[in-house]
Amino acid sequence: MLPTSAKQSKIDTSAGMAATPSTSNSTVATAKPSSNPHSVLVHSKQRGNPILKSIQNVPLEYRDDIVPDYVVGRTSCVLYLSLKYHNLNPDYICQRLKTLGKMYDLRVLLVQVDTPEPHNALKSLTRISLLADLTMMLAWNHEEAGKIIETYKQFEKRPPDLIMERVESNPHQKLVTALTNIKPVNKTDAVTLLQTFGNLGNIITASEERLSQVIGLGPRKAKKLHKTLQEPFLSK
Amino acid sequence: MMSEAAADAVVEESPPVEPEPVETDTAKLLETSAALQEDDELANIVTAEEYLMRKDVVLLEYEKQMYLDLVLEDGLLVCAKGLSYERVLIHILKSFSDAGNLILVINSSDWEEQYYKSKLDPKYVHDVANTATERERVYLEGGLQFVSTRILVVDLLKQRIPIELITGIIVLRAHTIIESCQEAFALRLYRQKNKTGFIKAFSNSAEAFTIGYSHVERTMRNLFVKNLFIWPRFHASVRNALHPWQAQTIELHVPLTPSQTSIQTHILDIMNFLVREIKRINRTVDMEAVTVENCVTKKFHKILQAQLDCIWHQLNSQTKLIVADLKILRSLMISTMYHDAVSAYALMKRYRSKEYALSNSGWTLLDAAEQIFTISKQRVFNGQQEFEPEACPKWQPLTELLTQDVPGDMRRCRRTEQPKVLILCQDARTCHQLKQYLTQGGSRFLLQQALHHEVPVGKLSDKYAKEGQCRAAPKPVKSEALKQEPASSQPPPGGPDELAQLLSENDVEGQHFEDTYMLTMTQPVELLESLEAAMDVKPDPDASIFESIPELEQFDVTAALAAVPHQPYICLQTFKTEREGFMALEHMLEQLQPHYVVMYNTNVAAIRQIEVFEARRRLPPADRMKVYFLIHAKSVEEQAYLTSLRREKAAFELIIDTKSKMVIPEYQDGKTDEAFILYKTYDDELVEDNAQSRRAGGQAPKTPKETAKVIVDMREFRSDLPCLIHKRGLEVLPLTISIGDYILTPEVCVERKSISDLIGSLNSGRLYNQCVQMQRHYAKPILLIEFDQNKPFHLQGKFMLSQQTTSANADIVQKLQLLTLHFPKLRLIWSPSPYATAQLFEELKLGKPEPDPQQAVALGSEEPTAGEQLHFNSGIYDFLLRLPGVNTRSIHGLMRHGGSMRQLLLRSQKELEDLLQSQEGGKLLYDILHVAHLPEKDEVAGSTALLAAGKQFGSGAHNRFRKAAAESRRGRR
Repeated sequence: MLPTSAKQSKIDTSAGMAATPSTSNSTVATAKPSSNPHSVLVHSKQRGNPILKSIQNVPLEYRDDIVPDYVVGRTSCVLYLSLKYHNLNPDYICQRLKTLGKMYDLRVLLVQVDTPEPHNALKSLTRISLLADLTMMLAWNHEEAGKIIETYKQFEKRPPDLIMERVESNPHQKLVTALTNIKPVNKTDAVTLLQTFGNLGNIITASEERLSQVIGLGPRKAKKLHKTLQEPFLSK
Repeated sequence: MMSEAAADAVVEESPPVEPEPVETDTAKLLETSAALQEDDELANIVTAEEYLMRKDVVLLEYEKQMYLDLVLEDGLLVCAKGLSYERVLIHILKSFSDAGNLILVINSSDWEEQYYKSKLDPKYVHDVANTATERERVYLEGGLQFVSTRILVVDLLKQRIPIELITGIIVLRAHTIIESCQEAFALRLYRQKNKTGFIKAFSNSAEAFTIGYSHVERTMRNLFVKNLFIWPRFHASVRNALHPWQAQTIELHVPLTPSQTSIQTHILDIMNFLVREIKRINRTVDMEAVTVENCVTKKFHKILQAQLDCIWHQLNSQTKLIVADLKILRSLMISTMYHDAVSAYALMKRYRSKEYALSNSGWTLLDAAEQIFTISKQRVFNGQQEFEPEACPKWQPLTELLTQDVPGDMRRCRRTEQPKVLILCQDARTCHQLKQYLTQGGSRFLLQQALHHEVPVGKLSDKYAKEGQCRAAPKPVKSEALKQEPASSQPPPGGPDELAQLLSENDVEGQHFEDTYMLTMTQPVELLESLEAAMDVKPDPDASIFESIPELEQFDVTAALAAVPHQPYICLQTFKTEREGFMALEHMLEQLQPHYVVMYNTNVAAIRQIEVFEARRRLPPADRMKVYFLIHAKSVEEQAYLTSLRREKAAFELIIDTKSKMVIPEYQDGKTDEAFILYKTYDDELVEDNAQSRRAGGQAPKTPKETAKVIVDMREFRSDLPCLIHKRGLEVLPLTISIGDYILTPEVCVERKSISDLIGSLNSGRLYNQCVQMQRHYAKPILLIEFDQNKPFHLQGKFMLSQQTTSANADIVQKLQLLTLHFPKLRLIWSPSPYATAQLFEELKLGKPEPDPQQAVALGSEEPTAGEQLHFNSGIYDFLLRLPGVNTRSIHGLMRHGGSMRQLLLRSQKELEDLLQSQEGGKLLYDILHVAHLPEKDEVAGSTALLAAGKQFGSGAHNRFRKAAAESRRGRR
C-alpha cells in the first residue's frame, strides 16, 4: 500500500490525463492491459456517474476496451446497476452479462438501492446473480457505491488477516481465554488467579477453599471453577 | 379423575350448559359415539358438570363457565387482567391428568410453570429430559409436560413424539403467537398429523390484541381455533359474581406537596411541548399514540415501539431525541411522585450535567426545566442550603392509618385476633422505601439515601437534626450509618440507568442486612432472594412504628404469625414478583388472610385479584377486608390508573366488536383433510397472482406429491426461518450439520447471518472459517444476509442497539468485501425478511435434486459432532480446547485417555505428546501446565498495579478493588 499523500497526487494527474485527451488516450491504452496497476479501470460509458465523485483514494483510468463497468483488480470486475434503471430496462443487465461471458473470477454486481420498494427487483437480481456467478453487493447511495469500488481496489492484494480468527500466540493470553471460558470467571479473575498461583498446575491442585480466598473470586465462582477443573473428562 | 374421553362424552350429555348452540360436526359426532361405546366400560367417567360439583373444586360462577367453555370446545380465552384464568386452567389440567393423556403446555413463563407444577399432582407432571432418547421415553409416559417450543418443534419434525397420540396442547400467553413464531410452527405440525386432539389457548392481555391489523383473527388462525371467549371485567356474570362480596373500600386522597404539584405541572408542560414538536416535525406520520396522556402510562415504551418501529429509520434525529427525552421525563415524573425527595433530586441532577445538555433535544433550556431543577433542589435543601428533605406525602397518612385507624377499627369491631395488614406497592424499590421508613423513620432513611446517592449533605438544618435526635434512632446509629454506607456503597454507574442503580442499591442493602442480621439468617443467598421478592414481615409494637426494632426479620408468614401472636402484622408486598409473577399476590392473600389492605399505589390487576379473593371467601360484610387506597387525587398517578382502565376497556370493546363480525371458515380448526387441500389450491392461485403479501391467508400449503426437502441445522431452530420454510410447503429435515445452516440441493449450502451475527462473525473470524468449509465441500456456497423485517433494510443505519458508529458500519462493508475477494465463489443473498428468504428458497429448489442427509451430516464430521460430545463433560472440553497445543483433532484422544486435569498434571511431556499425537502440541501443553506465564508488559499493567494495591489493603479493600477493576476495564475499552 502506498502512503495516502502519494496516492492523492496521483489521482490528480490521472484524472487530468483522462479528462483532456480522452478519446486518443483510450485507443492508445488498448494495447497494454493497464497503464497504472493501482488505478481502477473505468469504462468510458460510466463517465458522469455520480458515484465516481466518491472514489477519492485510488486513481481512475477511463477505458473503452474493457467489458465490465469497472475493473478493480487483475481478476475482479464490477458491474454497476441502479435499481431505478433496472426497473425501466430489465433486459439491460442480461445483455451486459452475455457480453461479459465467463471473464474474471470475482464478478461483483454492485446494486444501488434507490427505489422505495426494492425487494422484488432484488429478488430477481439475486436469481440472476446465482445463475451467472455474480457476487451481489448493495449500496444505498452514491457515496457508498463509490466507496465499495474504491475498497475493492485498495483490498486487491490484502491478505484475509482482518477477517480471520486472531490466534493469541502469547501463552498467558491463551490461559486467560481458557479460564474465562469457565462461566462465571471473568478476565480480571483469570489474571488474578494466574498471578496468585503462578501456573495452571497450581490452580488445578488448589482446594476450593483456597480458590475462594482469591480476591474477587468469592465462593460461587470458586465452586464452579473447582468443579470444572476437577471433573473427570468422561461423563459416567 | 376424569378419563380420557370424558371431555368428548360431555359434548353429548350436556348440551343445555352451552351458552351458544354448538354447530354439530358430523365427523365429530361419529367419533364421539364411537368413543362413547368404548367408554361405557369405564366406570369412573365424570362429566365436566360432575367434576365441577365436587367439593374440592372451588370456582366462582364465571370461572365455572370458563371451565365448561374450554373443556367442551377448543378456543382462545381472553380474560381481563386480575381475573386470573390460572385457577380455571389448573382445573382443566387436573381433569386431564391421566397417564393415558399426553398434554403439552407451551409458551409458559418460568413462574407460570412453577405455579402450575406446584398445584398439580406430581405423578402426572413430567420434567422434560435433556437427551432425545430420554425425551422419547417420557413422551410415551403421558401426563402433563411443560415443553420449550424449540425442543418440541424438533421432536415433532423428527417424529420423536407420537403426534397422533397427543391429547391436546395448551398455549399460554396466546397473544404472543404470531405467524412466524415457533409456537405456531409446532401447532401446525401437530394439526397436520393429529386431527382429534384439542388446542386451548389463554391470554390475559386484551390490549395486546389491538396492536397491528386484525391481530385476533390472525392469532386464532395460527392457533387453529374457531372459538373466542371473552371475559372482560364488565361481563355480566363476572359482575354478578364479584359485586355481592365487595370489600369495603376507603379512598384516602392525599394531596401532593406544593413542590411536587408544581414539578408535575412543569414536567407535563415540557411533555406537551415535546409532543407538539414531534407532531410538527412529522406531519405525515400517524402519531396518534403519542399523547401526553399516554406518556404517563406504564406501557408508553411499548406503545411507542409498536408505532414507530416500522418507520424508525425515516424519522430524523431530532424526533428520535425527543422520543428519548419523553422517556426520561417520564422517569423523572415517576421519581418525583413515588420516590423520596432525595433520590428524585439525585436523578434530576444527572440531567443537569453539561454532557446531557449537549445531547438532548433542548428541553433543559426551557424555563419550565429550570423550575423543575430549582424546585427539586428546594425539596432537599432549605433556604440556608441546609439539608432538610421533604418527606413523601403518603408517609404521614400511612403512619396514621397503621397507628390509629387500624387499631381503632379493630376496637370498634371487637376483634380479638391480631390485625393483619397488607401493604401493596408497585415495585421493589417502593417496597424497600416503605420498609426503611417504617423501621427507621423517615429522616434517617432520607439521610441514608443522600449518602447513597452521594448528594452532598453539608449541614443538617436545626429542625431536621432535632427531629432526627428525638427519634429513636439516636446519634450513634446515625454515625454508624455514616460510616457504614460510604464503605459498602458502590456509586451507581454514571449512565442514567435506573435498573443498574436499583440493583446496586439492592446490593448495598443486602450487605447491610447481612451484617446486621447474620444471627437469624443462615443462608445469605436466601436473604437476598427474599429481599428481591420484596416480602418482609415484621412485628410492630403498636406504640410507635418509628421505634420498631426488627428483631424478627425474614420469616415466612406462618412462622412469623406464630412467633408474635398478639401484635399487629404488617406485610409489604409488590403487585408482582420475579419468581411468582401475579400469583404472588394471590398466594400472599391466601396465606395471610389480611384484615386490611393498603394500596400504596394503584394497580388494576391487584384490585381485581382482591375482589376475586373476597368473592371466593364469601364472608359476611363485617368480616371482609377493608381496602384503603392512598391516592394522589388529580395527579398523574390517578390519571395513569384511569388511562390503563380505559385502554383495557377499549381493547375489550374492540375484540368484542371484531368477534361479532368475524368470519371463521369451517376448516380453520385444521381438523378435516379438505381443509388442507382447500388451503393448498387457495395458495396456488395466490402464487400465480404473485400476491405474496396476502399469503397470510393460507395455512399450511403442502405440495401433494414429492415435497421438496431442505436440510436445516438443529441450531437454526431458534430463528423464524425453518417455520416459514415449512409453511411454504417444503419439508424440513432437522439434522446436526457442521457445515452451513441450510442445505438446499447437493450443491447449494447456505450460511444464514442476521445483521448482528454478521458483524460478530466477521470480527471474530468465524465467518471466514465457515466460508472455507463451505467452499471446500459445496459447489455453490451462499452467504445469506437476513435483515429483520421490522427494521430498516439498510446496512448503514442504526440497526444495532449499541453505540455502533457509522464508521464501524463502513468497516463491516469493507470486511464483507474482503471476504468476497477471498471467496469469489461465495454468493451473497440480501434478504429483507425471513418471509422473503423462504420464498427465495422455494424458488431455488424448483427442479433441483434433493439434498442427501447422510452426506450432509458426514461432511466435516471429522469435527466433533454433538452426539460424540455427549460422552465428554462439556465444561472441561471447552476449557481444554482453548489451551495451547490442543486442537479439535487431538482433543478426543486427550479426553478419552487423559482422565482428568489432575492426572494430566502427573504425566510427563512424552506422555502428553503421545496423547496428543503431536510433539509440538505435547510440549506446549506441558509448558502451559507447569510453567508460570506472565502477562506482557502493556497488556494488563493496570491489573497488576491493582493487585499490589489489593494486597496492601488486605481483604478489607475488597470493594475498592472491584470498583477499581471495573474502572480500569472501562478505561481499557
